[in-house]
Amino acid sequence: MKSVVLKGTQNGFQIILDDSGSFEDIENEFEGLLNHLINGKDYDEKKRMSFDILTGNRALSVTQKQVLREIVKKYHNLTINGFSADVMSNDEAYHLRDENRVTIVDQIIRNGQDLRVKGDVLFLGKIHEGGKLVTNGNLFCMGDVEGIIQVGFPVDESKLAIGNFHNAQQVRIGEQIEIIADKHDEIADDVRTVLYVNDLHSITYSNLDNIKEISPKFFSRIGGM
Amino acid sequence: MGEAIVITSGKGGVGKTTTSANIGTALALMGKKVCLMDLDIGLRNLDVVLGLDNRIMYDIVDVAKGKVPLVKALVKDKRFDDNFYLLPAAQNTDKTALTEEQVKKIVDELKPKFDFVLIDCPAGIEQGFLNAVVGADSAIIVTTPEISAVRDADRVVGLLEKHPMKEAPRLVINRIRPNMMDNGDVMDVDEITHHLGIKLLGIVIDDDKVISTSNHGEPIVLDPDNPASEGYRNIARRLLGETVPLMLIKPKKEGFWTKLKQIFK
Repeated sequence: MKSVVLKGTQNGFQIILDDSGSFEDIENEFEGLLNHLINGKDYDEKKRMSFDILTGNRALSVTQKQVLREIVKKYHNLTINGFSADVMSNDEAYHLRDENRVTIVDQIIRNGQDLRVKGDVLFLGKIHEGGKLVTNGNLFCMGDVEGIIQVGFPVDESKLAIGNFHNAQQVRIGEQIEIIADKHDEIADDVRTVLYVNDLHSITYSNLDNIKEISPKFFSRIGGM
Repeated sequence: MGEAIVITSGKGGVGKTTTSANIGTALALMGKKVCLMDLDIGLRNLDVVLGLDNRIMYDIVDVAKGKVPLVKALVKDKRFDDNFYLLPAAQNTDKTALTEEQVKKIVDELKPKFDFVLIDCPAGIEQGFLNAVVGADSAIIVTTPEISAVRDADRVVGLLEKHPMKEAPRLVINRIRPNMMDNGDVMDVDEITHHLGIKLLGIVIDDDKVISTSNHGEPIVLDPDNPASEGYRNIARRLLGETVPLMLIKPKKEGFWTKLKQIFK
């Protein structure tokens, strides 16, 4: 059985690499296939051809992908669209999971403690004065905040902090900092408060009813009506 | 096998040493065998509060360095038969003179010989604090109703949670001034306990006599009628597993005669 198979589909050409063959075989057969292709009688030199490379249950490493790219480079009118596999590395999987999940935090963050979380956070615990909760995602807060929260860490100003921050010391979104204690009267003692960074790059606050205007992207993601 | 309890607070001046001395004395009065360990090296006070400062021969650094065996450094308090001993701190060096392993070894050596080993922690959260908590089975956090003391207590509870002990830390609220608490000038007992989120072990009312008796080297618990003494005794009883209701905080009401007296003062 061949390790490299060329297939034409409605969406263009696919080169399927057998996931049980050794990579050396694939490398050789791949080059052979391309040679065979350009020496074929139907080959038109002026027509550009591009391939999707499917690797099945094998995830190619960066260097392996580079090897195949180098081979294709030898033929000036051939290009690779991209690689796709049915599997992914653990690192990629963890990254994907961390980016898209909502982490539930239910603990007391005490004075001097500093909790760092990846992705969106649903916070049910309590942040004491001097405690700090930092995330690169959004924060949905149902607990008591008397300390500091930071969303969109380190520089993402599109993130939101939703919850009651009336008693917080500071709220930080990306690089913007708001000393809540100074604006104690302005920020409502209401769990339906949204803090966000406006077009003037300063932190402002609004009610959850206005979330569609504040962040349409976020609104469509949570599937609001 | 006895229990080692560290008495700590983070903030200085909230009454760690007084609390250690009084809980220790109260336990000894109830017939338990108690050893107090002073880890406030360089600024030792526990011996003074107990009136044992003249009897110190060797100290904890001598024991840790292997100069003398542990039993030789223990100072016996004659008032309590064979029940009450003090392992004094060194005065001529500082907190870095000891390592965590050395302290743990000493605590482990004391535990089989006593019912309670009470460790008096120095203020702060540096090496001295780490030394004090390493060998302990549980912790008593001392705070006063002041915001700054409660903040520091919160910090210390956070640090202790990082390396959990056998038992969760318990809280003692010291130096309560009933009138101020009644007027709402300071946080009340429920507020502090709720804020810190740890179990309340007891409360102690502020009383002038606590200072005057300790100046004579006599812990206040030796006076059975004093309100502060009652607080410490209750704490000791709770440590022994008894269920004791929290004492009521009654603001001192000034009667007609006291007011009249004050006018003519």
